[in-house]
Amino acid sequence: MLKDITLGQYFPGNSLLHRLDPRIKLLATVLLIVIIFLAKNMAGYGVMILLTVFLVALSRIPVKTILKSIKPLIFVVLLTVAMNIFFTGGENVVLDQKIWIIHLRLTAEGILNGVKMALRILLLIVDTGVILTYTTSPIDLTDGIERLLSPLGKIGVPVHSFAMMMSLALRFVPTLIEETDKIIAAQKSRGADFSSGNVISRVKALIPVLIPLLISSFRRADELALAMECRCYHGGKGRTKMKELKLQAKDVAFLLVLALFLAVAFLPGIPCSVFGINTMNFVF
Amino acid sequence: MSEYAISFRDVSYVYGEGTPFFKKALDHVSFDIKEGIITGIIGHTGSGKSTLLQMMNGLLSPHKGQVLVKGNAIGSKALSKRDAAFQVGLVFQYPEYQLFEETVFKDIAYGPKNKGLGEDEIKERVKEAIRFVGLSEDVLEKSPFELSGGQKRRVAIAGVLAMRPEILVLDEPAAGLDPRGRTEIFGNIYNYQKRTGTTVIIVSHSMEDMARYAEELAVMSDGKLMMHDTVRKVFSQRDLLESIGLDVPGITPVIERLRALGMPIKEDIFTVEEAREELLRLLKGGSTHA
Amino acid sequence: MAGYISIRNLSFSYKDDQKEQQALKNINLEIEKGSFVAVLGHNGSGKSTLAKLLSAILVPDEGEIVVGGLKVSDPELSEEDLLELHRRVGMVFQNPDNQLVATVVEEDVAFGPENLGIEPKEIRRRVDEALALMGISEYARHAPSKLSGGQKQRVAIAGLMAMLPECMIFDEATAMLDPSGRKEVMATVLKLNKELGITVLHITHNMEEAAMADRVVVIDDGQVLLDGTPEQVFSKVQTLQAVGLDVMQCTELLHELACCGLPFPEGVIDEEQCARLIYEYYMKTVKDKK
Repeated sequence: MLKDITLGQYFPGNSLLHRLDPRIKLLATVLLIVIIFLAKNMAGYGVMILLTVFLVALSRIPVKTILKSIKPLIFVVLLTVAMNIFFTGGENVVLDQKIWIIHLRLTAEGILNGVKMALRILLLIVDTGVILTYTTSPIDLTDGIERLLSPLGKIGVPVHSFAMMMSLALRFVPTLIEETDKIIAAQKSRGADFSSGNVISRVKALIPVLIPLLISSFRRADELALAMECRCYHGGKGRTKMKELKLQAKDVAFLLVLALFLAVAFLPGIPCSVFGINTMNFVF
Repeated sequence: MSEYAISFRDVSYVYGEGTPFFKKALDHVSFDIKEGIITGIIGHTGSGKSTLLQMMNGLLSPHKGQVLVKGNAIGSKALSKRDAAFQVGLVFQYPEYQLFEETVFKDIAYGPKNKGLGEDEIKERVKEAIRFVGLSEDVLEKSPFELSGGQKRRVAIAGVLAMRPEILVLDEPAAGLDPRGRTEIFGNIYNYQKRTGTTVIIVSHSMEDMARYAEELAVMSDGKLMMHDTVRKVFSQRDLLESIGLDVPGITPVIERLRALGMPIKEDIFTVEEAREELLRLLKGGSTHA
Repeated sequence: MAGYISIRNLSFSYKDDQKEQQALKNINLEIEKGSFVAVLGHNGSGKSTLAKLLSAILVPDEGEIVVGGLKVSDPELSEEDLLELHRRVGMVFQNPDNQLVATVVEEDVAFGPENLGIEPKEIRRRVDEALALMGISEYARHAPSKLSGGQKQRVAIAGLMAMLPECMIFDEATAMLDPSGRKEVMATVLKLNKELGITVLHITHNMEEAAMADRVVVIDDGQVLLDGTPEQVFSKVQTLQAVGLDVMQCTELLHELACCGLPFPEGVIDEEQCARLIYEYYMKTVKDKK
């Protein structure tokens, strides 16, 4: 059921990562993404894996939960691995055989590329999950984005409205998922069949779900707008926040530690950057 | 053939296995729902009622145990899940939120169409269903979205009736309606049952409505079946009902108070009509025929 | 003396391209500061339109509405006055889901005060106080989607209380709740009114809830049909039933006995009192017999 999806959901908690300034976490996420894409070899990935394990421990999010969040993406990961394995050329052939009508030619480079891509995707999911989506309440997240982007407000970009829209969308995700489940169940009870027939008939079968969902979303939006107006919402003008964002020592420290990782592992001219050399022989 | 419409055989169901939201929704539930009567299911929110309902037409499958419709286990060779959905018509809470077609006619026809019926047959059933819910045929060509809340509700119920289910299951059919709307919906369902002899299963929080319309009651609490008996027997267990957060009909405390004061009044009175008859017998009979 | 809410000659109709539908006709009402008034009416009677006019969401066609000195009916109401009105008069709506804006309970409660531009420390203090008042402090960090309907409504009420209102309007705020949710919300309503002196306008079609108020105003067809104490209003059983409303079962019982010629008063809304009256009469007739 849709309800079981955990990807991109906030897990309340009180770990260091939970308490960090969302702006710092956003910056850290960007930094990590850059590092992950910069990592060229297995040693680099090793460093990243260590860092990720450390971050997971720091977040106190159960490993089980994280694994569960990866599950829906396993297919994407496997596909990427397969693409890399079969479509990367290379010198070091480990398997060259004709099986039935398929000519299988595996190279060490291909396998390594596949593994790297898999690691890259998994690291991206786990890192952004642990630092951002799991440990940052959507409201903090939008707050962080709003503050980071606030300079754009001066040139007329509606930063506040954008942030409010985002946080409302996040608020209604679980509500709409629940509602979708209900409508699907109701239409199934009227004999709807979502699982047989060709693509066209399957898409057609979704109409009885999508239309009620759309109508109820409009109704919700109407009622919500009314309720917000009655709660004195009048845009970002003159609005204060219960939780002010103030950078603290731990925020700066966290960012520094990450920056250090980046420097140590990947900048040329620093002793550890030997990792940057082609490490084929290193691994095999 | 079984004499029971639906049977639960040691049914268990859990939600969110291995997550912090783990919950036993049903815990070894076994009972048989009789054919041809109205059975009520009561229990507070989260007692497992909704899970129970969704098992009756195969939307949910038990993790343990079996659910039988007229003696055939759902999901067995004799009765596929989809067939179960056609045999057992389930009307969800606030069913008006599933309406989607351009016209009332098309919306009511959705179920029969999925069943693969012919056009004439569908037409006849739609007309029959709209009559059962007390609406005139004039609404058939209207858009369901221009109807009032109560009318939308009826159209949605008609959409299930048009499938002519052998067993009709309704989850809070009168939720959110005003007193007149409640009486009308329950009246429609009651008359439909009397005229067609269909087995009807209703979930409701209103003990007054249950006392008026149901013959038997199943009481759920915390995923367990607490009682399954005639309405009278169930409502006479006021302490047990209150201990699981359920009320008795509004008239019952008055009768109990009178009995406590020492009036020789019958104890199994659960509707205003019954109370009036009994009191007239005691008070007027006593004073005029003495 | 003018009341906290003063409505004079109020009329309103909904207009669209084709037709005009009159929702309220010439309403006159004075509501005292600190009172608890139930507005009773069937669905479509115009009672929710009244709530929307009171909070300046709609502007009347004719007549005047003054709330706490603010002329709400003025179409040119300044933005400051409008904000002040919404601060003073909190609105709780029917659907618990569609009035919560944040993904965490305490953030939601803070939403109103944040809009008012209050100092962060003061917001924190008010949020904690409002959560404690509603008995939901333990859910402060929970996601609203995980709460029950009654709990969600209490979060909504807390969010309004954090703006330190003078008046609260409950627009069918219990209609979508189960009995325990209703009890939760009604206990809260009584607390706000009796302990904190907040003026309460409770719009409903539920008789038990209306019976808890100091005063009941029945609206039908856009007009005030009955206005008085619950005892006065509920003594008009036939009038109420004629407009699709109902009375509590104990009231109905005494009414029906009175119709059969027994000397019972109308408008009894207390089960205990109902039983006592019947018992006293019974003792008298039994004695007469002897």
